[in-house]
Amino acid sequence: MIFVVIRKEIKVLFASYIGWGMLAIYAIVMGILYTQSLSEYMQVMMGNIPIVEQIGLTKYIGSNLFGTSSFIMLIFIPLLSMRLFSEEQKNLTMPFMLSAPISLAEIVVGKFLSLILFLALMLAYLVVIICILNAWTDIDFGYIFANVLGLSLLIASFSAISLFFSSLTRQPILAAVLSFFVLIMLLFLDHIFAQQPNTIWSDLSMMQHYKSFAVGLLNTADIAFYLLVALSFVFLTVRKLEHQRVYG
Amino acid sequence: MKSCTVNNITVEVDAITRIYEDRKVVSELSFTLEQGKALGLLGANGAGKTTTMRMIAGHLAPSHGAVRICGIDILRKPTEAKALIGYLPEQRPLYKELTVDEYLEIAASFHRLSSRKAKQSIALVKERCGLTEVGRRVIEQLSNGFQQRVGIAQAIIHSPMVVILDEPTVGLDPIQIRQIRSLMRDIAQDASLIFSTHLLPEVEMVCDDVQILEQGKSLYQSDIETLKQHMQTRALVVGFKRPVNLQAITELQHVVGVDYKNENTLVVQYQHASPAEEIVGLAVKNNWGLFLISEQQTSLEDVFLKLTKSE
Repeated sequence: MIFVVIRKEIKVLFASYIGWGMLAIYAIVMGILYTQSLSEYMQVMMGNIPIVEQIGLTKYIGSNLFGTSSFIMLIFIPLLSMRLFSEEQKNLTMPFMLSAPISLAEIVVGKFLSLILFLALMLAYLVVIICILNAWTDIDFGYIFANVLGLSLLIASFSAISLFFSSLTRQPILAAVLSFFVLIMLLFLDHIFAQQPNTIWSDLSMMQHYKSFAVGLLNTADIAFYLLVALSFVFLTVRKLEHQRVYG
Repeated sequence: MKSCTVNNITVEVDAITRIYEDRKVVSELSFTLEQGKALGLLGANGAGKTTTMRMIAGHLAPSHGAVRICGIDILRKPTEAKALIGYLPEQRPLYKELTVDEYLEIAASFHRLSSRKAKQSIALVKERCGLTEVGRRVIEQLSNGFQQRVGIAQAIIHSPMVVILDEPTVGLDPIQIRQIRSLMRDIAQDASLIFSTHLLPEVEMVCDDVQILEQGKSLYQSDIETLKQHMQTRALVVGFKRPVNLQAITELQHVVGVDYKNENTLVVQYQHASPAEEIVGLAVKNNWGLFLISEQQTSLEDVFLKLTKSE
């Protein structure tokens, strides 16, 4: 039944301009950044720009594209997730799903996965445009894999957090703004607590855990951190809806 | 046609209470409903009709008490019980950016219908709800009445045992109201229908049973025939073209009082047996020009207002 929920969410998303619009914006921004990075790299190779450090094409382009993607997700995910519960509650469409023989957990997980699946389309586009370069040069697939995994996990935890905030209010804009600020806070906790680098706050920083993926490393602690955050917030969302059902 | 194994009773509402912030919105409400019967929930705004329906539909958990659909406790086994229910809230849960067909396909998949069964069901409900011609149109572009039919179509797509409609005719024009009522009667042929309304003629036309709520409590509960009997007073309305001898009518056997309703019309109250025949005899004998004689019936509005001691 989770699949049914995913199908419904994707269908509704693409029935409006939001889905297509976001894909188009992402494709345009990434396309511009991609061609710019490529031309900059060519300038460096031709010696027009002094080489600061020896760096491969995959890393040069990848760091720009994956880094920018994570910031785009910071904006896109709250905007997409506000639809999932806040807008449904505002438009009074929630009873459609609540009347069906589907558990609340299936509804929440289905909505969560539909968001991930939609964002995975963007990630797939990113991977394709980088891998195209393999026709002219050797691409570091390990680096790409680590970055894709890191960005996927970051997307999963962002989505789960935003989904939770979406379940808290009937005002979609409020849900989006709330989750945006919470995500920024969580992303840059290490900067906020830069004076105390070894505190629990820097351990909770999402950026801190993203750093290893960004340089092409896979750290199981970082993977576990993102998975734990995602699972916790999905669970909290289910609990919130159950609470609403019992206490109104 | 599906059927319930438990004495043909589809809905058992067992002393349900719903408390919001120390306030009892619904209090100790109990009733049962049989298959093929329609129950009308009546009550002023805030009487607890919507809360009651949401509890029966499994959207809200009762603070106390239980709701069983065909013997299945909706709190303990919500998915099994919900599979037997179709629900349309007052605000239609429509995804207006979708077409009617797309929306009904999603509704069918949510109710676990196979794609072959879904196609058949969609065609059938579209025909029942008069949506065949608008299947490919975006819901947002449909009129209010058609949107309501789409809402009802999603509620009956899986041929549920119990259909719950919250104020299904609100905001519709008289023609649309007539069509929706006819659809409701059609639904109540197979399934049990629970609906709330403010329109009392609707209750008379569609209901088998009536439940009147006031401040969350059951104020009156009976079948529609008993309610109609309550509505009958023992009085005749009699109209004459020419002046009459009131004394002669008052002296008739069983007559206990005579009042002028207007210049030409009298209300004759009686006990035990109707004096209609004697009045007709007097009118003919004295040439009073009798043009009207009928039993006076209290409207449902009167009964409703009397029972609820309106706000």
